[in-house]
Amino acid sequence: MRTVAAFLILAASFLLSAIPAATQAAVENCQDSRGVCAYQKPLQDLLAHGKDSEDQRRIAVRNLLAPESVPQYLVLALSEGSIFDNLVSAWERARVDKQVGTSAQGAGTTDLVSRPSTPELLGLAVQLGALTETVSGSTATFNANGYGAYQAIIQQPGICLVCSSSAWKNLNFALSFDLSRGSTKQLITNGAANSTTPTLGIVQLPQSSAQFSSLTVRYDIYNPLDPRSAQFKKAWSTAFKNHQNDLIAAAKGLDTALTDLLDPLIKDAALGDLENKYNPLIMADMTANDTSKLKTDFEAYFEELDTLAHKDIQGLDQKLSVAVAAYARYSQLNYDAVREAQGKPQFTAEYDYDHPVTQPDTHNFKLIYGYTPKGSSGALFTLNLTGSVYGGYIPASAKYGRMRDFQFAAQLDRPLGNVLTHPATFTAAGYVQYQFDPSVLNIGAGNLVPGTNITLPGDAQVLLGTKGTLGIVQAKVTVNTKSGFNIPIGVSWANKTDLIDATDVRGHVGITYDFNSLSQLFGR
Amino acid sequence: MACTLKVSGLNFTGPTGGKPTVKIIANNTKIVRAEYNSQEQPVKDNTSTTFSILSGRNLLLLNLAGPQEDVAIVEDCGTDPPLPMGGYSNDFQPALGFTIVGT
Repeated sequence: MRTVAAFLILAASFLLSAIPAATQAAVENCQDSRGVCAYQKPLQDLLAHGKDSEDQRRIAVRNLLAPESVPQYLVLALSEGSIFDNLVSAWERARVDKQVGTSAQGAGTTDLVSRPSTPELLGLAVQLGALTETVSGSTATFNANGYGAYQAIIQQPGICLVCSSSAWKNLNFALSFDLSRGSTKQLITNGAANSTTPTLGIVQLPQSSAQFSSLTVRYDIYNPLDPRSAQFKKAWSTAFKNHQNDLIAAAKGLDTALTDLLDPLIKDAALGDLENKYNPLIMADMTANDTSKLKTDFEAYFEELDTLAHKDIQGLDQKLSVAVAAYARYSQLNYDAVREAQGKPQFTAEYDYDHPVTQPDTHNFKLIYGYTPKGSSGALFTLNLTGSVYGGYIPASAKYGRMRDFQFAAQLDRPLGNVLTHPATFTAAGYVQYQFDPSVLNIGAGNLVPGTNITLPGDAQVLLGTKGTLGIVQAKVTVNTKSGFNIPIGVSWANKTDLIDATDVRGHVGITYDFNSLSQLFGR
Repeated sequence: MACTLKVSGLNFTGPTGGKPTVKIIANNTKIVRAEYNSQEQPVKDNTSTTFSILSGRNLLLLNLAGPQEDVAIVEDCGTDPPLPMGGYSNDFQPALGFTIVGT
């Protein structure tokens, strides 16, 4: 439990420290001078190329001063607020491959199969139900991604479609708390408060309304991404061919949007005058490596460019919105292609430590495989293979072994409606578990020995249910709200549960939130 | 073969009717589509495009796909050294643009 407490403290301090600092940085870097913020990369490149060849210096200045050279900078610089962030977040919310809640084993779960991805920043789920367990419950799950947390601390965006890979990006943690069981603490009293009250030596005080239920650590396994390697080049060629038609279609939309923006600008002689005015100034700043003067000169240039853009481009805001949407669409396709080249199939290794209320703790080792069939309109097929072992001490005379069970599960998630903005996701899943021995039930001290009036002096264990195969099928619809909340509603049928050898039909409901929707709060 | 395009400030000039070949130099990044003066241009092997220069100032757009890496766009000048036109380092950009002035 010390680990759990330390994790919670870390998460809380991260949230408290990241929000004000990141918001302040956003004001300084982006809202007060959006031009400098959007053009940060070419500004940095310019200083880095100060002593390079004439051609490299010319290209560095061109990327900064010619608005058509890298149009994304101009689009971001002129866009109001965080349109781009919102679009990326919308795409993140639309993904069907994220596991926000707890997995199949344990009370208070609505998910029969663990999906291959997790929220890229933070996730929170409250779920009611059970799948393999006899007793239903309600569970709260807190999810965090290593990279997202790190990005928030250093005041960078939590979600980035083109950022370099980081090992932390593939590491995720989740903690679940069972909300339906409270814990108590035994305390010795100092005697009765008045003479009419019988003396009570010991009282049980409620300590909390929830108890730790499980800890999950996940790591996504990809082939290492080295763009220079022959292996990546080969994989990229294949991935590019697979996505080429989609990319061409998206490129057409992007070009139309960019032409609408850029054509009026480049055909205005005033743009040439503006470039000629600032070209020597910026070149001198680059040679002198004068960051402060460079920033001042660029801000003056951008102010004039902004005025010119508003004069030349009719319906600028509308055209910017179209361009931003086109960029988001195209970037998503390129991201998918690069991910495919990076490693397909995608595997996720997961470790779960489960702490059930009346059963021994278990360690579960899971391999998750996710696959999106070609032409399936965003559907995701997921397979899970799991092995579970009992944790802790097993008495020498125990009638059960260390190995608890093996599990195999498969799931199909299909978006209902538009792939990017679908309002709901349909899920069909199947689960098979082979258990080597009947389930073990812990009976705590103070309970009666079954069938007698004898109170147990210490902890005891009994075997309940049957060994063998447990099968479950589930159908579920998850309602995806625009605000980032998802509501899974499902029904499942099982041939038995872990403790009772009889068929079982259950309903499940939950609410999950992916904090990617608030990623703007944490970064630029 | 000499280059068709010449550097003029931050833009490029060339004779109207000239046919420059613009190509990409990168480990992986490919040209997905090319458009000049709002007209789609043929892309060869996802690495180059050749177009006919029109009179006046017109926009050449190149759509790229690839991982985050170094990318250079040059005019292929045959036996002569290529003319560096643009690019970026350790980045990915969906589109790059060039103003070509036909003279």
